[in-house]
Amino acid sequence: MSRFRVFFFLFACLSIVLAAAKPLRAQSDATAQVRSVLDKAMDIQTKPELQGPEHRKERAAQIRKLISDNFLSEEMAKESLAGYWEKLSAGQRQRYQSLFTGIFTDSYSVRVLDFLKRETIEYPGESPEGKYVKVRTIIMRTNEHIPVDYILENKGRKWMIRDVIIDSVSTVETYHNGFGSFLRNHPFDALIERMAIQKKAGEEL
Amino acid sequence: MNLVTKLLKNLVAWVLPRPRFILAVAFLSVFASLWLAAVRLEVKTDQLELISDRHPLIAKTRMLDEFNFHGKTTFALVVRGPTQDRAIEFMNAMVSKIHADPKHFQDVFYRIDPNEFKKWLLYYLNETDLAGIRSTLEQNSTLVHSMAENPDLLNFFRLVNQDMASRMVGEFFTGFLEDEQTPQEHGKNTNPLDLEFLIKELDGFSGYLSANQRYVSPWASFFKSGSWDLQKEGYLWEGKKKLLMAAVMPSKVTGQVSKTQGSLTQLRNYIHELKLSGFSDCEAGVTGQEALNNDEMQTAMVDMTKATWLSMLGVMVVMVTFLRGFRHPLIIALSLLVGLCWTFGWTALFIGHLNILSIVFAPMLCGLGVDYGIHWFARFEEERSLSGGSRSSIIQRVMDKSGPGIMLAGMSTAFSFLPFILTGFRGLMELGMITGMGILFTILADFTVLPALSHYLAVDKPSAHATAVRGKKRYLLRLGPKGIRTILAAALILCIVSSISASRVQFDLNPMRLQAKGAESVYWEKVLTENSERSILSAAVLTHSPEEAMTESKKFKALSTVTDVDNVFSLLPENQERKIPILRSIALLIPELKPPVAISTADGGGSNLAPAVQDSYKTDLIEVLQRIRFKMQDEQAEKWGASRPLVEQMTKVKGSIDRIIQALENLPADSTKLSEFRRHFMEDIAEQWTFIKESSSASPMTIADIPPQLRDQFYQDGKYLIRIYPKESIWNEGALARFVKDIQWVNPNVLGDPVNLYVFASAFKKASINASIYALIAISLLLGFTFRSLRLMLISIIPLVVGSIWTIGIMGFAAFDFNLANSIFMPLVVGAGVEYGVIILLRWKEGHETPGRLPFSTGKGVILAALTTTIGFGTLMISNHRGIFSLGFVAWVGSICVLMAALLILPAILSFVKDPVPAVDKEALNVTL
Repeated sequence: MSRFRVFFFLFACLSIVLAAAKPLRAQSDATAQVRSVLDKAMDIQTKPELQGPEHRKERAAQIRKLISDNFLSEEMAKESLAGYWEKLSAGQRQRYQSLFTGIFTDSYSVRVLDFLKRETIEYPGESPEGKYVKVRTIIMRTNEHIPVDYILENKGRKWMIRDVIIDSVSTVETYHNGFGSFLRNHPFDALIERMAIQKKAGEEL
Repeated sequence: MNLVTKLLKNLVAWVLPRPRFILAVAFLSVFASLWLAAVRLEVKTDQLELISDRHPLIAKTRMLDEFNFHGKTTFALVVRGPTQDRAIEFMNAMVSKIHADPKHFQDVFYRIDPNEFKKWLLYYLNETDLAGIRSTLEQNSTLVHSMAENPDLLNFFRLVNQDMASRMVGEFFTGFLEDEQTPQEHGKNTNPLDLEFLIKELDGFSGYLSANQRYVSPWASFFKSGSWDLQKEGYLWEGKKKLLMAAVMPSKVTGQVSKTQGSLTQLRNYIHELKLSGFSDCEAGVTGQEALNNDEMQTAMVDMTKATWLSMLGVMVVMVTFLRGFRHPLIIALSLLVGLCWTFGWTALFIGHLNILSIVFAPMLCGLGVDYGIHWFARFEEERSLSGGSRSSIIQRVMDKSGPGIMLAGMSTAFSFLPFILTGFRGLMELGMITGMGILFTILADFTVLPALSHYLAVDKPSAHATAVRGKKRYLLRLGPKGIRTILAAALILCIVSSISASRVQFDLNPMRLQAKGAESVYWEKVLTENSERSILSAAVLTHSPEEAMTESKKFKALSTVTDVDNVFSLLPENQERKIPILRSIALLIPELKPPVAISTADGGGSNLAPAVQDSYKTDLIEVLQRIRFKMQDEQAEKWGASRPLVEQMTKVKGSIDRIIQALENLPADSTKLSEFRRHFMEDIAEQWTFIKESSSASPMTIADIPPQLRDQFYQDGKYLIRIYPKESIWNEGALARFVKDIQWVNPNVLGDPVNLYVFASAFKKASINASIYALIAISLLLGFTFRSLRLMLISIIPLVVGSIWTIGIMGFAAFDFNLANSIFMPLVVGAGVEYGVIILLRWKEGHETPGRLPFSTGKGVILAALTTTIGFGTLMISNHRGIFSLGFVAWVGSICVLMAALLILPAILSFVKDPVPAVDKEALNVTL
């Protein structure tokens, strides 16, 4: 074997190794990111100084911030309206995205506030999902558990969550089905109006 | 009377020299009578046979027999459990015992095999329910189709979990849109979450794994219709499905009361045994006409036996007290006993049975029949005291002097009963014959056995007390002119007040209110009556073509007194043609079920699983159950405003899952429970799928398709039976009359219990009134013939008339109504009432008395006779049978009233009548009675 050939072979091997190594590193980062978000959420929920109903608003604010910092709400909003998004004007899109972000953040915050305690969470692994990565988690309790998968997208410096799949049911898909069903019988403005009402109600929680 | 006196003289002349022979004959005849009674005497319980065994209604009613279990006698077994399932379990256990005992039971009809009408079960649901089923199938089409693809338990739980997860996430994030969502979304269940179906399945699974290993199908709760649970179908429910019924056909086994009593007792023993062996939460009892009749006769027999002995004892005590010694009461009692035995023998020989009316004769006879012996010995003591002499000479004098009077009193009492024969009402005819003959037998005994016994046992020396009072004339009542007026005025006022009070006395038709309060059959009949949506008694008519059946049914239905009409066509589902399109659309929603490939060794469902495969299946099952459990956040759900029932359901689901997981984790490696349950589950789905598919594809049901056991109740050999249900309670006399008259107007050939009751009650009322009239006429004729004076005849019946008015007045005050038992009180007290009048009048007729005075010996005789009579009637009041009690009460009050009227009013009235013989040399005259 010529030296060139040897060099080429080594380069090819290295390329393969590097190519394989990149997702491996990405996987662990994505899982670490999910773990970090969940740990922070559990910290907020279990901080002694934030316990009790009188500190719920404080906790809610911190949870909301955690969600805002780690979820791609605007992307989720767009995907939830897939097939309809293109028909919207820029103003409608902006209004819709804004409301969606609020509603999602509120809804998710409430579930975290009500559900999440100091949990035992298993991280069975992660797997690529097209250009995204799915991180699998299982919340374990006595005689009950629930699998919650997170779809993350690498946004340069940080892995961001763009969907949460609770026991095989995608949040984004649920929004998509719900909005689609609603819009089959109502104009877009009615959806905006309904979301605005919901947003307002969510703020009062 | 000369003829009677002559006959009596001859009889006594023949009897007195042969006391030993007379007593020997009496002893043998008593023995023969008792043997006859034991061998031949039955108790008849059929109500209609009380009217007449030749009554046309009886023959017509027998035509209905073939529609009621082909004329077989039946007991109604009623079961009430905490749940329908428990009631069914109890019933099934009872049926097993009944089937295993052919000695006591011929058969039991407790269920129509659901497989016989399963094909048409969906036709029985109304259109709204059918639309609901279609909607359930549409909304759960994902579940239905997925289960059709893989009808396995694990797949089922996975699908349930998937549906719940979808609901949960949807509720979390898009709940604010939900009320606007279209419910028609294919395969998506948008109904509010109801966990009942899941709970049923989990409970069944948990129960199967724990101990009972009985598979319970959950599909009834999926479709929200009991029709799906074929295990519960076909049972005979009553009272809004609270009472489970069965018709038990007893074998004819001899019993104390009837041929079915042994079976009834055995049936109750079985109920008792079951309750002790794990069914303490269930109640059960036996009722129905046969059981009611048995209980009624049983109670009556026991009570009458007690009453007879008590009556004898009471009479003995009174006699011992009044006659101041034991010998004479003993002679009277023995003579009475002989008369009673002869009456039993005669009844066994010539009538052959007793009925609920005639069964009371024995204690009454004790009270009435003893009077003649008392009068006999009263005179015996007087003759002994006044003239002395040997026993034979005293007996001879008593017979000569008092014999005709005693005979007249006895005859008048017998004549108050014997005219019952003229009423044509069989029950009363038999009572009249038995009691009338009983009185005559008692008199015969008093003229044969009593003198014969007296020949050996009578006390022939007067007592010191009798000697002391000898020669003194004493009076029980001394009325001056003022006293006479006071008594007559008080009697008149009492009559007016009684007449006002009597207006409140009604006629109560309800035979249930005659029965013993504590009788089990009565209790359960009452439970049935109170819980049934419609009357448990119905009238019936036979028609001979479908058209006639339909036309007649419509006419009956249009009557304002009718609530419901059933015929064989009512057994068919309604509006079948209209339901066909819905049913066919349901059929299209049911996918073909794949063969149960899941039950294979490879998949882990077979009974010969490899342990590793079973472990893997178990792990997957636990995993999915844990995921379902996570969604049961009952505390949070309540906070979010979930309904209370839903929160409770969540708690139940959590509990069941915990039990299942524990059971699965503890399941031994070689256990087949899990695979057995999976097999049951798959078979159940296959059965349900087939059922819905076949039922929704079936052609409309026809009469030929109705299960024979049910069809036979309405249609046989071209005859169509119509059952007509009254709107108002037929125990109300007016309502019964309106109902019967209305249905008879539509068709004069109507039959059935209400018609029978109406005819029976009318006949009984008429017969009771006629019996009183006939008794009064017969006695009046006898008295007219005796006194040969219309005025004296009328005076003699005054105590009866006044006493009867007072009695009905007291009934009004005591809130006693006339009923089917006590209506015969009048003819019963006629004899007693007239007897007292006759005795007082006969004494007055002797003359020599100051107006307004009643000689002591006469008064004593009347009081003593009245006391024994009231004891006879009064002992009926110990009866638990409320009918007999009420008869005892009314007759007891009646006899006291006529006694009071005789003792007080008669002397007062007689003071206005010219004395037949002026009062001279009073002390020297003998007292006739």
